[in-house]
Amino acid sequence: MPPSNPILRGALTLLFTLHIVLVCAYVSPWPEHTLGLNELATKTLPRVGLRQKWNMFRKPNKWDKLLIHEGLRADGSTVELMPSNAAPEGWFVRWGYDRMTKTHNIVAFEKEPKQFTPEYADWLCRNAPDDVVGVRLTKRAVKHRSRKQWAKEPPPEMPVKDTVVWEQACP
Amino acid sequence: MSLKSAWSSWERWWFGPTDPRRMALLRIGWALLALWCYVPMFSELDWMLTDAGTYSVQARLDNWSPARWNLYANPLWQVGSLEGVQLIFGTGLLMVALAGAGVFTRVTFPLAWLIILSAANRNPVWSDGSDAILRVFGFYMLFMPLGRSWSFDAWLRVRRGKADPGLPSKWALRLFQLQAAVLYVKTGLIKVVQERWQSGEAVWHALSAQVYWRFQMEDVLATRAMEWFSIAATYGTLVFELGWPLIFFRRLRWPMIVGGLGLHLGIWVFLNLGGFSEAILWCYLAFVVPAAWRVGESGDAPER
Repeated sequence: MPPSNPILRGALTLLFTLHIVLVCAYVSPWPEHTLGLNELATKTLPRVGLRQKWNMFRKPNKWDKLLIHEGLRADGSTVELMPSNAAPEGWFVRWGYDRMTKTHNIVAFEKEPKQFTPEYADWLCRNAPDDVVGVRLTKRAVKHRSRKQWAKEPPPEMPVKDTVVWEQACP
Repeated sequence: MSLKSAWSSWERWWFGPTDPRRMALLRIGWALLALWCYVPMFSELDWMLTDAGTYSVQARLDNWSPARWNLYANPLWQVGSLEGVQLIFGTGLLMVALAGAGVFTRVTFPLAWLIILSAANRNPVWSDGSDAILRVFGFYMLFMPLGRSWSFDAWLRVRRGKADPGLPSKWALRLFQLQAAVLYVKTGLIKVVQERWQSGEAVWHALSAQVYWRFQMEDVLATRAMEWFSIAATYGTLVFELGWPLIFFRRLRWPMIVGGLGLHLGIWVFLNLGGFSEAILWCYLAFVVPAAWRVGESGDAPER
């Protein structure tokens, strides 16, 4: 129940307003224009579980970014350690959500210094077949087709760019 | 309008009474969503949350300086074995189910929320938009009397002959609603300045992301209708998201809810984004006030 004291009630409404102002400052796309409130919010809100970004679909990529996991053998051959999240050939429906997708995105886009990728590569090493002596992670960018390109029969092949994001020997 | 009556309206907006079934609806929805998102995780805990997984406790600590209380309060910092993680996570799921049924809600809901928060803090890498919604909006629900209706707690209260505590105040529901408005306006603002949204091609590229395709989209993307649809959806999304606070006006509430249903069900049909579409639509329940539930709120006046 709200307090019966009107002064306390007024103070609470101001507190609630301040809280929402802080949330606005925290997620503001222009933190430098928040009169320092962004810094205050960054220090306080995540501590109570209110870490948030809401950046979904901010800037949809013109390229698909797939993560290719290769296990390296001593004879120079490679083995696929995990399938990428490329769409399979033919008809399919995805019901469940593979949370590994998010992990692939993080690894593919992680900037220097890489904090997560080395641990991820170590984990791949631990779970690789015995004859794998190293791991290579490659970001494969495939350009999206336009509507007219999709309508062609068959659709044209699109440019592909491969970039090695991490390579290491397995202990 | 005098200053006094304006202040009085302001206070009533925050503290006016509301029907406890609104909060019960949020509680049940939150629990169902959490089970939907987290039950499938149980078979993947080894790579997500154990020391043998993709992110050990030590690496997490090296890369991040969590507050001291987080280290002590988060049970998943203390445990690295699969059995231990399964025990904690399983306890969390049990708390979610009990909170959903309204069993000792004052205890079970905070515990369920805390374990979800702990999992996201322990390894945020796999955490996505649906987790953020459950966590952030769950924070405001901590302050709501969630077990007042449609719950074991309510049944027990009646059985024990305890007095009805009356209608709860809306303030936590208001914070929940305002947080939803912040979410939409923020995401609208960051889009409207992007060239891809201004040029009308953003939705096309979102739909072209094969990583998220719900089904084989090749034939769909080849149709001319899809080209026009994606341009209309790009600009429609911007208008909808930036105009979302209009949902606070009663006359515009249902058009905004219907717009949200169209937007998010559309995303759900084409793209598999985990529980995000379901989670964001759950937030709309905070704005649903059936006529029968308005009786008793703010005297005779319908709720605004």
